Amino acid sequence: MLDKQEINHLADLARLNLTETENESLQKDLDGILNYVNQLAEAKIDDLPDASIGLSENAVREDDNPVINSSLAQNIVEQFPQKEGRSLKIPPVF
Amino acid sequence: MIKEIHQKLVNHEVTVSDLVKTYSDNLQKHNGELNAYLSINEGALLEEAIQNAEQILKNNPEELLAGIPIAVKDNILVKGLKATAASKILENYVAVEDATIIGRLKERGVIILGKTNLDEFAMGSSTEHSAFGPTHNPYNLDLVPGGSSGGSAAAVAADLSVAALGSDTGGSIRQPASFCGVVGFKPSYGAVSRYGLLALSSSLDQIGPLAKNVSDCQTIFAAIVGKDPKDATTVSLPPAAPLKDLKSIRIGLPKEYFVEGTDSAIKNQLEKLINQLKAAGTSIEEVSLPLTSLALPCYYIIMPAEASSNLGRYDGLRYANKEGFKDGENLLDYYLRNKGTGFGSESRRRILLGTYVLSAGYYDTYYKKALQVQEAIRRDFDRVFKQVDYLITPTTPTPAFALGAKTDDPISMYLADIFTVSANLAGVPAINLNGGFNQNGLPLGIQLIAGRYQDFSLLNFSEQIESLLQS
Repeated sequence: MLDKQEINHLADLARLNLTETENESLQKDLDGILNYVNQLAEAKIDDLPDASIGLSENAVREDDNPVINSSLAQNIVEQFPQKEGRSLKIPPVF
Repeated sequence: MIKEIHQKLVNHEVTVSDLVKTYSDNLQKHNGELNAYLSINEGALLEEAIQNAEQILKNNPEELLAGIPIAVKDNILVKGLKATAASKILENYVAVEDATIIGRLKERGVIILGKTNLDEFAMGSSTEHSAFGPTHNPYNLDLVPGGSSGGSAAAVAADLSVAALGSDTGGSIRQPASFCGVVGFKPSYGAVSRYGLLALSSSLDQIGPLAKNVSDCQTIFAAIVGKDPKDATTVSLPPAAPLKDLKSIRIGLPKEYFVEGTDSAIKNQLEKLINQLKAAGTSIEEVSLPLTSLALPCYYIIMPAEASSNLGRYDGLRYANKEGFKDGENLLDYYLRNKGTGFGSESRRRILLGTYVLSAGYYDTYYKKALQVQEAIRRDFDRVFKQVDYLITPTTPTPAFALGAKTDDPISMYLADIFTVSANLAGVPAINLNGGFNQNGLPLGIQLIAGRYQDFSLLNFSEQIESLLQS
């Protein structure tokens, strides 16, 4: 069972703020879900294939000029909530 | 339906404007009670689309899709319209470009009526996890429409659009299609470009059509399918195999899908169909997909792992207007405040679950094992499709359930996808057809599954089954 501290640690890693009540309900929910998915962790299956083969091959492209539509960059910049010139403005890191 | 509407347009019995007005009027009248649409296309953008469609029809009277009004799930980008993914964190975000498939549909003169409701970032099976309120089932407003493409399914069922686009990661097109009595098609992984789809689980997500009949799904699918340089996972599909008579088709019934717990009306409908097929001379055999019971646990490791990574980009800094966001003393503080309130409860659950299964010490137990089981499931499907051409199964264990019935119990909600997730894990195409109604008048879904990349053949076969179901 995940305890309060572990939930807080996961929330920190995911950059989420949780309230006390939420922490409690998440302990209960995640516990239930982990119990359920543990069927898989515990399943003994013969001849499990290597997970690195199969459909999920990596696809790469030549590293040429990736800019297909130059006005797109401008449109994206225009959507920034706060900006200075063409830079996204964010709160101070520290 | 699309073909009939097209004839009327070509014969000048209706204009594109009339058609759009009919659907817009329906939408105005019923969207209040259904909450199928989150935003509506109107004004200059809509006018331009109507004129474009009229022009295309004039130049090419063969263009079936010109002037056809459709709805688009709100996790797919349409330039100039909001794309909220039903999340507070994207409440004010307006798309700056079209998804590849939207571009393709616009070239054919399709009219986009608006953006439809979903579970936040497509995470859910009832559309109740939308930040903007649930969608209601048109067959009974106290019931869920299914999810996550619940808005799209409800819009098609209630004639608030001719057809719709949805996305399906674990059943999100087929399950709501089944609850709302429409056709919903999840193509093979790689068949349709996801460029411009807000990613949930990139190794499973696939876009597909929802419509009143198979033929309409086919028409829309043919327009969106195909390779896209902007989505490296896309492939070129082979054409449909020559159409076979029902006598020479081999059908498999996976025994793991015919177990206790499935609603008896759904079982009866399936049995009726199987008897009709037998009478038509189709070969029906029992087959086995032995890992079926592990598919959902496998899915609930892979999907949250990928979702927690994909949702990391919604930091509240880049994608929305300033209003509604809280300031922070520093960057960490800003993230904590804005991501904490921007994501709903189900999103937070899955982000934390994904963070957990990917964290040091648990990776091998969960994520690696899940990928191995996924590969084993793919091989099982490959093996079965050497024995038979198509599989027939129920789409869901039950018809539509009541609003609120499962919101407090995540596992019981997840179980609504028990018959649909395997197709995503295996990357194979699958479709929901309406198999009739239960005694309360609720639609019952039937799922057909084909081998990987046999999408066009599956659609042809689905038309054969559709006419049997309607006979």
